[in-house]
Amino acid sequence: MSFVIECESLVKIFKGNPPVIALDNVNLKVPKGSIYGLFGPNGAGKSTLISILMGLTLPTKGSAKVLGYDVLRESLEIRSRVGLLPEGFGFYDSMTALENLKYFGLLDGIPADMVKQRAEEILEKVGLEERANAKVSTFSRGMKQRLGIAQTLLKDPEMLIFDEPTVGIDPDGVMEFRRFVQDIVKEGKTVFLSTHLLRDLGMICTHTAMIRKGRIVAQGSMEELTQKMRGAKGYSYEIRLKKPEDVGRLLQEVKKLPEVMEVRIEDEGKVSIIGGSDIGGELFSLLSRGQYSVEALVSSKPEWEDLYRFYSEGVG
Amino acid sequence: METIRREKLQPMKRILIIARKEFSDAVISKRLWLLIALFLLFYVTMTFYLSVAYSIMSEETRPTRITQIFSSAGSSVSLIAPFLGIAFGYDAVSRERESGTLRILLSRPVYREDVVNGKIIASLAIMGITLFASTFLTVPATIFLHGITIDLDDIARLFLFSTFSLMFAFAYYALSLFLSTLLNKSSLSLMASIALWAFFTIIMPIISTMIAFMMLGFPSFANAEDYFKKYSELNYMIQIFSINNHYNTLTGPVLTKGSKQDVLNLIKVFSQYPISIMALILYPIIFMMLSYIMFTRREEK
Ligand SMILES: Nc1ncnc2c1ncn2[C@@H]1O[C@H](COP(=O)(O)OP(=O)(O)O)[C@@H](O)[C@H]1O
Ligand SMILES: [Mg+2]
Repeated sequence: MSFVIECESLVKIFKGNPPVIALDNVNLKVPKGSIYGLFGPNGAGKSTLISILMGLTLPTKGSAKVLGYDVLRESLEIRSRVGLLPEGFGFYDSMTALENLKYFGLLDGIPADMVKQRAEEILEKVGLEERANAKVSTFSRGMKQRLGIAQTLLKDPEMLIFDEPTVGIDPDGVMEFRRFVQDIVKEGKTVFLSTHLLRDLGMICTHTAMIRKGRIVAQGSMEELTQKMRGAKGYSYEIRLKKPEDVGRLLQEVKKLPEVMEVRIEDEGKVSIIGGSDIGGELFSLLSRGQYSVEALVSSKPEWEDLYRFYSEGVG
Repeated sequence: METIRREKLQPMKRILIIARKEFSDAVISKRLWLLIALFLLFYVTMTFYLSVAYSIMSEETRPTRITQIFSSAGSSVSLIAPFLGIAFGYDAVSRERESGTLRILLSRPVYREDVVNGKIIASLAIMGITLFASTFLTVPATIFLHGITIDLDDIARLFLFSTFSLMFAFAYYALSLFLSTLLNKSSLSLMASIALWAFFTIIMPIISTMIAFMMLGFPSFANAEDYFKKYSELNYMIQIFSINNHYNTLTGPVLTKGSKQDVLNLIKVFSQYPISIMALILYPIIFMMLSYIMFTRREEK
């Protein structure tokens, strides 16, 4: 597997009184083609890490490579291949959307004779073609957001970094953004995004790192993290029966299965089970053998929030 | 979407892209046209005042040279020069930081130095055009209104005067650019720039005069010439850190023509006031360096 971001023992301390340890020994590997979510509360160090990855802030210690380029020595190479949507970005208000994009496109190295066409193409892609010649000062928050995304695409980047992309965006906009990210990775690009809004973006991420007080508390793919949490907290299942009177019998039979750690009646006809390993198959055959009339057997997968709560427990 | 062709930009190309944008911003900016309007107002008022004054003068005492008119008018140009510098310097960096455009700008394959250099080049160009145009576009009007003739020497003097004015404007530009990188907030940096301008232009000369009087006592008729020589030397020393002082020191002799045979001698001007020449060159360089240091060291979030 090839990695597009590799951080080794990154430390960032902001001088001051008292000094702020924004990043504390961060090791990170981001696989190519992933949608990588950097999750953490405000002040965790997400923007600082992104700033270092773009070569805009120098690390105090440690090293990092983006697309194989060193953040200290080859930041120009990084910035010509990575599109960034920074936190709290803005545009030149007195210029039109097209003029803004043309300027940024020229600085991305797009030749002068092609930059207008390229900017128009991108405006169309984000659905702003009709506002191309309107001044940015007339744009709504949502339109500015689209323009923000547009400027990341100009250079046809290999990787995109979004810092808190859904803050202040309405639910429709968030949904649209999720769809956009899923489309863009199909083109072979990697997306690295930071957020403290797991509900907005957790579901589309294939990988994650959870950061708290400058420290990475967990990282990996959704499956790996789920697996690891199950190892510690067990596998949970839920059975709903059509006839609530059968619940007592089911309870007795489930308790006899090996590897069952906990069985609980939740409410009318609903039983929740925690197994020490994957006992889905056993539960299924038990239900069919016992002639239960089953409404549902659910192996409840943890949500991002469960994972997040689990991994950040006891940290900070 | 097809992959697009992109080229790796040379540093000069990057700087020029930024400079071109900054230049067109400046040309359509309200602040430039406001300053030009202010200049014209000042020029018209001064011209009117002078024609009234000259009309009551006798034939022999009436000025015959354009340089005399320029210097006796207190020159509108030297008044707008510092404001031109402040107008383009005070928010050069802080405005982009406040509006969030700096973050987008810096996420491109450019260095922070490129951004500062682009802004400096554009501002130099706009200040140069404004100052030279202000001087030379008013020449025909001045000739016509005051009924005088000019020669090559006058033109050379006006040219040198404009050059010094540009360096003067540039010094104020660099100073307020530095304040812009240092203070983060445009409003603060504007206040600080104007405060420094007022200090060098109004307060410093008063303080300097007071100190000189206190140290030398009142002049007597017997040693008047000696006294004023000492007096002006002392004044010069007290205001050694004032850029206005050096600008005035240099432009004075450039606009003063003793006799008709007295032609502008560059070597004489430069050798007579080496400190002032150095100051006019070093002042902007020092503040530019400080701006670089502040801006490139700053941790952009
Ligand atoms: N330029 C800076 N100077 C001083 N402290 C900073 C600076 N930037 C960030 N910090 C501090 O570093 C910590 C991490 O900030 P940040 O990376 O912005 O967090 P996040 O993006 O996760 O909200 C915070 O405590 C913040 O106050
Ligand atoms: Mg942040």
